[in-house]
Formats: sequence, C-alpha cells, structure tokens
Amino acid sequence: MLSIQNLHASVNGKEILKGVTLEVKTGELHAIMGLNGSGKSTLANIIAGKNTYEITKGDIFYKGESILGKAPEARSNEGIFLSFQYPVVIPGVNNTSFLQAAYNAKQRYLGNDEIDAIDFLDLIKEKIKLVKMDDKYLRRGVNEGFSGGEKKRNEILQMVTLEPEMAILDETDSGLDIDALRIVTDGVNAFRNPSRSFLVITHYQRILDYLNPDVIHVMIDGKIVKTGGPELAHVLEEKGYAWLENPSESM
Amino acid sequence: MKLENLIHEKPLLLDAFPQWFKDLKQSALQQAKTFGFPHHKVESWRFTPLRQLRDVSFSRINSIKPSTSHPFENVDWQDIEALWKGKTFHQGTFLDALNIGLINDVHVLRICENNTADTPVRLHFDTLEEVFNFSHLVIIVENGIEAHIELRLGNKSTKESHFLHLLTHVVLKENATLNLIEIKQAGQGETMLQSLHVESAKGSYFNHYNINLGGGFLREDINIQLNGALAQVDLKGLFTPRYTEYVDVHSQVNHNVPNCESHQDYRGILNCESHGVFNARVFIAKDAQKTNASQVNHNLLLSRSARINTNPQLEIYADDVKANHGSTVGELDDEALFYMQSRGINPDDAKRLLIAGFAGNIIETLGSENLKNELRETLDAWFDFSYTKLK
Repeated sequence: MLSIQNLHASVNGKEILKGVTLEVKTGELHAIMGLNGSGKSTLANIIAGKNTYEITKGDIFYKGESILGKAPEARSNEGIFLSFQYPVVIPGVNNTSFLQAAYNAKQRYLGNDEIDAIDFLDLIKEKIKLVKMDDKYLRRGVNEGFSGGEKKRNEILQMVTLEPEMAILDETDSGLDIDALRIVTDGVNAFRNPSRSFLVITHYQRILDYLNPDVIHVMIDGKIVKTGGPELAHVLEEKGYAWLENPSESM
Repeated sequence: MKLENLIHEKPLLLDAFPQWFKDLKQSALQQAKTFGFPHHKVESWRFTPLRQLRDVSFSRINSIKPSTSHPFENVDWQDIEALWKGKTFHQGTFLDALNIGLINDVHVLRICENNTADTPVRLHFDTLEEVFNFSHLVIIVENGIEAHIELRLGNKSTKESHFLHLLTHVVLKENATLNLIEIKQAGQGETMLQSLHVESAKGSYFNHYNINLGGGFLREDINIQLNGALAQVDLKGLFTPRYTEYVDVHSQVNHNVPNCESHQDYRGILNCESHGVFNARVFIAKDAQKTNASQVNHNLLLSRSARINTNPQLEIYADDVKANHGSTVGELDDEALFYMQSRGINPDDAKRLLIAGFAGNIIETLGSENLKNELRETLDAWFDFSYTKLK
C-alpha cells in the first residue's frame, strides 16, 4: 500500500528526515513511536503533500506509484488521509459544508455523481454516530470553538466520511482523556478492514493498547532505528527511548 | 464644474421651505466656502484620495428621490428643525454642507408599524449619470417599533460616471429597533458617499450593515449619538474592492450616557490595486459609566498591490467601562489551505471557501435568507472573476 524508500527531507537546509524506509502492507496497522523532534510529524506531512519541505533523496510510493509529484488534493482523492496533530481552525467555513466539499471533490475525482446538501446531511448524521459527536459541531465553523478532544473526533469524522485506504493518524491521542481516547479508537477500529492500512504516530503506548498494531517502528533523529512487533511498545514504555539511542545497549 | 466649486452655487430656496431652513441652507454654503474643500491635514480625510473626489466634474446638480416601497410622508418641518438645531458644519462635514445647501427636498420615512427581515422597506438610489446627485433622507422609527430597511445605492451595470451624496438622519425613539441594511453596488465610474447620522434614544437598537460590493469611490461617514440609557448599536460591514476601487468607512460612536453598548465588526477583502480605509472612533463621555464598546476590523489582502489603512480608536473619559478594539491584516492562511487540500479540495475551491467563510461572519448574521443567498452568489461571482480573470 505505502512504501517509503530512503526518504531524506530538509527544511531551510536543515535535514529532518535522514533516510526513512518503511513499508505498510494492505490491511496492516503500523505505529511510529518516537520523541518530539524525531521527524514523525514531518514524515506524516510529507506523505500528505505539504510543500514546505525539500525532498533531497528517496521516494514515496502509494499503490506502486510515486506520489511526490502529486498535489495534496490528488493524494487525498486517491485515498490518503492525514489526521492532523493540530487540526486547523477555519472560522466561518461551516463544518458540514467543508465536509461536503471534500466528499464531493473525491466523488468528482472518482467520476461519481456529487451528492446534494440534503442527502449529505443524512450521510453525515450516520457517520457522526461513529465518533459520538454532538450534531451541534456540524453547524459550527470548522474546528471553531472545539476543544482539543472535539477537534480530534472531527478528524476521525472526516476520515470515516472520506473513506481513505491509507490513513495516517498524527498524534491523534495527544490531548485526549481516557474516555475520548476510547471513542476515537473505537471509531478507528470500526473503520478497519482488510483493504485499509493505517500509520499511527504517537509518543505513547497507551493508544496502541486499543488499536492492536501489526508493526511498530521507532524513529529517532530522522531515522527508523528499530522495527518490531506489538511487544516493542511495552519495552519502550518500560525502558524509554534512551536504550535505543546508544547502539551498544540495543537488544 | 468641479465638486469643489459647488460652494459657489446659489442655494435653492423654495417658497415651501420655512425661514430657518432657508437660513440653514445659506449658512451651510457660506460655512463650506469659509473652510474650503477638505485636505489631507484634516484627520477624517487623511487617507482619502481627495484629488479623485475634487475632480469629479459635471454641469448639473440634481436633487434625487429614491424609489421606495413605503410612501414618504409630508415633511413636518418641526421634526427636521429639531435635527439641525444648534448644529454647525466643519471641514469634516464639507459635503454635508454642500448637500444641505443644494437639495430641493427632504425625504421623510416614518415607521410606525413593525415589519420583518423578509418584508423590509426597500429604498433604491439609482442615480442619474453625469450629474451631481444629492439627497437628504430622514428615517424616524417610532417608540417600540421594530423596522427593517434595505437601502441600495448605485447601479452595478452602468459604465457612465455617477456621483451621489446621501445625507441620512436616523432618529430612533425609545425602545425602537432599526435594522438598516445598506448595499452599495455600482460601476467603476461611480462615486458614492453617505453621511449617516443616528440619534439613539433610551432602549433603542440600531443594527447596521454596510455592504460595499463595488464602485470606483465609496465612502461612508457614520456618526452615532447614544443619548439614552441601554441603547445599543451594532455596526457591521463588508467591503470587497478590486481594480483601483476605493472604499472608506469612518465611524464615530459617542457614548454620551451610561449603560449603552456599541459593537463594530468590519471585514475587508481587497484585490488588485484597491485601497480600503477603516477609521473608527469610540468616544466614552465622563458620565457614560458601564459602557460596553468593541471595534474590530479584519482584512484579507488577495494581492500585493492592495492596501488597507485600519485605525480603530477609543477615547475614554469614564472609569468603569468595558472597551476593546483590534484590527488584523493578513493573506489567505496557508495552513488552512493545506488542511483543505489534504481533504481533496483543490486550491481554488479552498480559497473560495475561505473567502466565503471570512465574509460569512458578516453575511450569515443577516436576518433574511433571500438576502444571504443573493450576497453569497454575488461574492461567488466576485471570486470567480477575481481569481480567473484578475489572477
């Protein structure tokens, strides 16, 4: 599904990603764990198509095709979704209209009929149940006056509405209390199926307890330094990241 | 003759006018002659492209009557006299002085029955081309009445030169409400100015929308006198100039008594080489305790050549008040654009949504669905044109 090969990327001449290689197969859920500043969010943003980074080396393939030359909207329409670490507030742009615009953009791209406002409202009222969000958030501006947890739920609502095949969740767990975390991860789990893949970026093992990852990667200083099974999360929780920073002490 | 030379015209003194009005007209032109055409050293005209205004030149003066859905009543000169008693003109009100000197009629709209946002009183000033159009309008809303008025200025399809100066007096009696929705939509050759004076009595509410959708030179001077306790004022505005259009809003809100509220929220979306001015001043008198006043002006510049002068000001003499002001000038938010693109929305549609959202803070608060739809469509067409042809 997603294959990242020796990806190097810089901002203003400073190298952030120093050769990331990663392969997410169809139906798998991978997690990337790592400290602040290790490059996790940069990787997520680059996959989604943010153009403030310079790719100096390497490539990203989605369904076998390089996506580096594609606009963010094309990547999205082809099935890549990024749940933002800091969802953007767009005052005055109605949340439902925004979702409908996004949904219809994808339908247009796929050559399907667009959906009108009334039918879309029915559709969104079904989807919103998955994230147990109050209807009132549909009538507000995008993320306008939303708490941290509501913003994250809104991201997941967008995900289940757009039905991507490759979803990247960038620190979706940060700022969530335990109830909100359960709702969000329930939403994600309900959405999982053998044709969808996930890349979950997090600091903590906590969210992974709910999501049952297939593979865990540890990222330090712009590189994947370790890849393992679900048990790796617990080792990290116990020992911290320090034991991986010094290669002589690694497993 | 040029606009600045109209001070040499003879005032129109009809037999129907009472002596005090004839005196006022004569003295208005006399005063205008004494202090002369405004110049840039006068604070309220500092940013205005005065040459453009001074050079408007036609051979005829016209006293224009708007088309209306509600009959004007016969002038009760006592009402009018009360408005002008003890008033003098100054350089800032040069055009008011010209107006009073040169008009041959006063149009009085007295609202004694409630109406709704969907059935407003409609007024339209569709000006004659190639003449100086002046008009004086008096709107009186009686005690406890809730009125909706839609005031349209200009002719959007004209290519000719037009000039309109409208002097409007609004009198809100006790507990009266006026929703005044003013839409200026005109061609490139139109110069339109409104001087709006509002006197608010106890418990009254003035809800004003000043929507500027096009015109070569648009200016609104708003002067609000909060004279009775618990009076409230909302001044909301939107301006969307493009080409070399100029839009100017000068507001002066005087809190003369305690316990009044005034809120101003203006949004500007400026394209091409257009120029906007927002100059708002709130004055809170020594006795006007418990005043609640706010002023905000947010601007979106869509072109590097567009500019805005924004200057909200507070002048406070009371010590127990709540007052704040602020303004922002920015471009379309790159983070928001990327966020929308990452949801599959192409950049043009994303920009369209952002602009609609920005303007929506004003438009979506309107009471009439029809009007909201009309303005959304106008803005959409504006966007299409701005981003396809003027990009």
